[in-house]
Amino acid sequence: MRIFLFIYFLIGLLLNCSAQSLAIQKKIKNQFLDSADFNLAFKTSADFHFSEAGNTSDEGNAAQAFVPSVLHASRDLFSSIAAFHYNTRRYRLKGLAPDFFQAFINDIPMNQLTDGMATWSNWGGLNEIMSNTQSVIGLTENDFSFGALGSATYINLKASQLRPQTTLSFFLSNRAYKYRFAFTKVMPINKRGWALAFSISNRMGNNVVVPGSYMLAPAYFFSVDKKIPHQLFSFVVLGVMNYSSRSAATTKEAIALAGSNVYNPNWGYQGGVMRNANMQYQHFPMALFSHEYQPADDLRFSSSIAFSTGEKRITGLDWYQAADPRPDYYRYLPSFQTDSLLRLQVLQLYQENPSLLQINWDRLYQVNRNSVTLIKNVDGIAGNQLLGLRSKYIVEDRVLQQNKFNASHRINFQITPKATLLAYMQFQLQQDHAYKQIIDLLGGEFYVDWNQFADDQLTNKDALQNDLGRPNRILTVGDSFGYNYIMRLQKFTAGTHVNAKLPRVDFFAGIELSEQTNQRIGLVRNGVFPMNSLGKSDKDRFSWLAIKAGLTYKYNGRNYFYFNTSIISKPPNINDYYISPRTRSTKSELVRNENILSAEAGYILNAPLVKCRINLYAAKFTNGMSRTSFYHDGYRNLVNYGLENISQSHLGTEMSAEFQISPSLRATTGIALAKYTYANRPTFSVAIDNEDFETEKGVLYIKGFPLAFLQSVAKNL
Amino acid sequence: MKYPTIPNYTLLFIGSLFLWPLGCIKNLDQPPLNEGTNVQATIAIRTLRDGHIPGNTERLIDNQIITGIVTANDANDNFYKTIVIQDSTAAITIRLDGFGLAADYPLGKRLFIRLNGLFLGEYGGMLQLGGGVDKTNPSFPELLPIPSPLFAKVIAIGNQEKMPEPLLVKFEQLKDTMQGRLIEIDSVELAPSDTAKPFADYVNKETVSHTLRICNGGSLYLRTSGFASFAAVKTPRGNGRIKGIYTVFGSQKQLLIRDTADVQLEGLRCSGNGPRILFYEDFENIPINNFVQINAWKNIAETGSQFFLGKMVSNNRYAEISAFATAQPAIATWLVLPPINLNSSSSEQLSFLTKDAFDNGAVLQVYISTNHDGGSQPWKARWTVLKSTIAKGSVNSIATKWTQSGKVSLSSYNGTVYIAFKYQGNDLPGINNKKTTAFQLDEIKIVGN
Repeated sequence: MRIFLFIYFLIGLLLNCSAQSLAIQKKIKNQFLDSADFNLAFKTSADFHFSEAGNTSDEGNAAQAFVPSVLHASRDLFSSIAAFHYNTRRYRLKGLAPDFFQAFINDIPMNQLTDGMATWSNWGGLNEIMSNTQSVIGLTENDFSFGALGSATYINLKASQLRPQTTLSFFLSNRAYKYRFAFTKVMPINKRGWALAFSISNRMGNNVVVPGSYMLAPAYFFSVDKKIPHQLFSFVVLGVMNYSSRSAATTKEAIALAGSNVYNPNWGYQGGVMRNANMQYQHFPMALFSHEYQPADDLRFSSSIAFSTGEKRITGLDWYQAADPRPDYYRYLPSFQTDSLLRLQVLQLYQENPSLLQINWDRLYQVNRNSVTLIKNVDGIAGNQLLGLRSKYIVEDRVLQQNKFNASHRINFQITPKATLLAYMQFQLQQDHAYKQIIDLLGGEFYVDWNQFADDQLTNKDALQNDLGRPNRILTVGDSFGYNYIMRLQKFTAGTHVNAKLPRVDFFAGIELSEQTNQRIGLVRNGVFPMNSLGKSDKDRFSWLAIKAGLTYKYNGRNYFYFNTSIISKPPNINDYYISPRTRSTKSELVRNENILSAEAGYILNAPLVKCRINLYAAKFTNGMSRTSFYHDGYRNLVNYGLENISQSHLGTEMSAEFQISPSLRATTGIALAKYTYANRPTFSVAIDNEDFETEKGVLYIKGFPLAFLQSVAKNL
Repeated sequence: MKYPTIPNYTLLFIGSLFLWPLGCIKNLDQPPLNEGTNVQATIAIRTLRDGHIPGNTERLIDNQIITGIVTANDANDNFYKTIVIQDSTAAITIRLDGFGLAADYPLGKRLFIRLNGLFLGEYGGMLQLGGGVDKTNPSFPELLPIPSPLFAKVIAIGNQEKMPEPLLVKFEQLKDTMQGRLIEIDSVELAPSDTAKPFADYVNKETVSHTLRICNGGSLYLRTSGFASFAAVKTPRGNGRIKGIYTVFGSQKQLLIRDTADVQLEGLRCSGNGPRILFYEDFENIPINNFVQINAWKNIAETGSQFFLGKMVSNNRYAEISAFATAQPAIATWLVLPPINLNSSSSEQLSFLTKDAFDNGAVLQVYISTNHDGGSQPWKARWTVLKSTIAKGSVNSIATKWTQSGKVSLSSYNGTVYIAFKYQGNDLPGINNKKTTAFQLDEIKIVGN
């Protein structure tokens, strides 16, 4: 890490820290004492050495001297324990949702405007060039942006700031993929001011652990930098084409029946080949242009723009007027039989024929070939008929086409030798186009653009039509159908941040203002919602403010006490307040920003042999809303469960310690205790995807209940 | 999306780093066509039924196989978790615990049922095949449907065959041996209180039984599930033929239809007062060569100020209209009949006579409206064209014979309706532009039960 920081700030100088650190420490220490020459203190790289210096500083002098600050650039021990050990157990830092974790590449925010999540998979597999990365845990001081309640990760992909290397990598793994190959070449900046980097990699695997699983993910990266005095121009292109199988949750009963912990219900044999029904493809290539301008040592302007365009396809089965093709559907399993004799018969059947626990592709073809249907009034033209095989089972793609444009501008300014100022602006534009597409008719001749979930609305004959503009449309492979809409989102953010390092106290404060506009544009008139499915919806404008401040008391170079607090606001994600954007523009009645008040306090011990951190945090969330969509077997329809006015309180402590047993051996431990509860009674509403009213509404009596899916105790040694 | 295949050779993998194998998209083989099954039936369905002791539930333990053609399934949700198969001797209902059965077992498919392990029992006297028996209440053992995972084990699917012809039966022939058979009944109509009602209660999803009366005596129930896709369709009011699956519940005889095409009740009813005339106008009392003015009728010019006129030829009076010599760019004229209430009648039929003269393309059409207010602006209401035969093609003369309109059924209408004749023509300059056909109209009649 330290190497990269030096590359970043002292371009062209490669310092081997372990060899020279002592000398530098002394030099820097002298600078502190002689504060006339303090220029270096501005640089993050120098921060690092302050703490190194702290470790060896003479405590007797500490009362008078400038006490070095705690470094934030190095990895926080607890969060690295969480990342390496708890994440595999779905641990969520401080109980926070994924949209509280941000990622930036060359200053460009990488979080989706739709759900707030960082798109890590868009650069997955490019490990070799991802090492110039800084993480800021929580809302603390930060040289790049406001940060995030969870963490903010800043990835630098400028060719001149990557570690020079020529690497050919080959990995064997037994998880999602089996092999990974990569070739990476980073050429450092030359005399003419050019630096070049590229990397290609490929991850591959068939049936690695889970039968029927599959992954093929070639990735590419190219970056070129041109440096002229005081300025740096950068261009980066990267992308990952990820073809992979999707995993499905299955039941304990199906796993027991299959006799395998890696039972996968998604595949079946077709013509002797394992065919997986649930697949996914995504490719969101991205191009970034950056410009850095440093007119003086104490002033730096960084600007970036980025374009991204691409698509994600989820391939799966769809069916209409036919039995569920999933072999592990609960009605097919022995436990569904209430009669013991029948249960035994079904159990024996599965024991004798394990192939019944896989998809029966042959049957899907037979059904489609049986399915002679007369379609009347094709395309809504009276008397226009078609007699043929209407597929009852199809393979469809749920397509998301995305275009993004991002721009950012940042100014870092050293106001006084002890205080820095950050000011920045970010603009994000995102357009998501979602629709379904026919991929395979599985032996049939056509499909019809009907809504299978609306065919029991006998009083409204139009309800069946997905597109009233073309009723009874005949679909063949490649046609788009079902829902078809665009989400257009734009966000503007501006913020500033001051950071002061006084002899005994470090202080920071930041403020950020944001505005986001969301709009749905329906491209088809849905039969169930003719009045609010087609065309542009009303724009939703959200404006919000976030404020943070923090104080660290530096008792001496080894003992630090800190207190950070923040008040932030956050608009609801579109999927949380649009009742069902697939079909209509209807929104929740009460759409408002969520407010989060949080504070943390702690103690850091930074001794040569023991490092320890105790952090207490509390956060109160109010006005939250969420929406969950799932298939409800009782309604035999997709339902949307909405929660509004959620208040939750998060309280907890994180403790981490590291003991240097010998120069080459260290022990680490991390403990987290937490209590995440609902703090009020939210209101709930249930809306069926294909009916224009709420079926249920009421108050949830869950005050004091723990939040689902969050761990309250985590330990690691 | 088609996904590229990954070759199983490590060396290729290394090569793939530089040449991404995006070209290797293999098309999967489609499974072969279903060529039926070599399973053979060992007993007739009649034999299976005869082996049943009334009131009993039997477990079938012999390795017998029956075969039959699917005559009913859940395609329109009137049959729930049930299919019916029949051979030349009899039919049997099979209870199957699944949805979308019609996908695997479409009408006309030959099926072979392996009876070993199945149960034969009754539900309200209706003999059924099931997968198990629930004896929670020992005095009413209940047959359980066959679990869906077992379908493929129990049922072998044969070829698609021609649907068996429904058996045309008289009321006296409806015996228990006919259970499940696809039957057809002639000269039948719904009881007056059950006409023009939804087939079932689609709002509360409740089953409804309507009474079917056979003209020669006898009645049975037309039973429809509230889940049926046609539950909201209104029952017809006429007399005719009906097809369906014969079922019983206790002593009740019932008929279950597969869809509304099974119901052909459009004729005149046999019961009640017989056909009667609801409306009649022969124009014999109108003044000649004057506007047609009859009490409660409306003769309205929408554009062009041309009206239906009273005329007489060989002592027969009629109404006539033509755009000829009007010099109007557009003529639209309405002749609206008095309101007619269809509530106390059924199977109404409209008929009338027309004659055309010097036909060059003007149009006379007959319309019906349920929302016309009876006022003098009929174009503001919603009108539906009634399909009828109207005279045409007498290009150089007056037609010599009246053209019969045919029997135009109004049985799908209820309440107060308006019927109107609308003439559309013009008298533009230029011989090819003119649409001046003269139409004569007479003998307007509506009959019903």
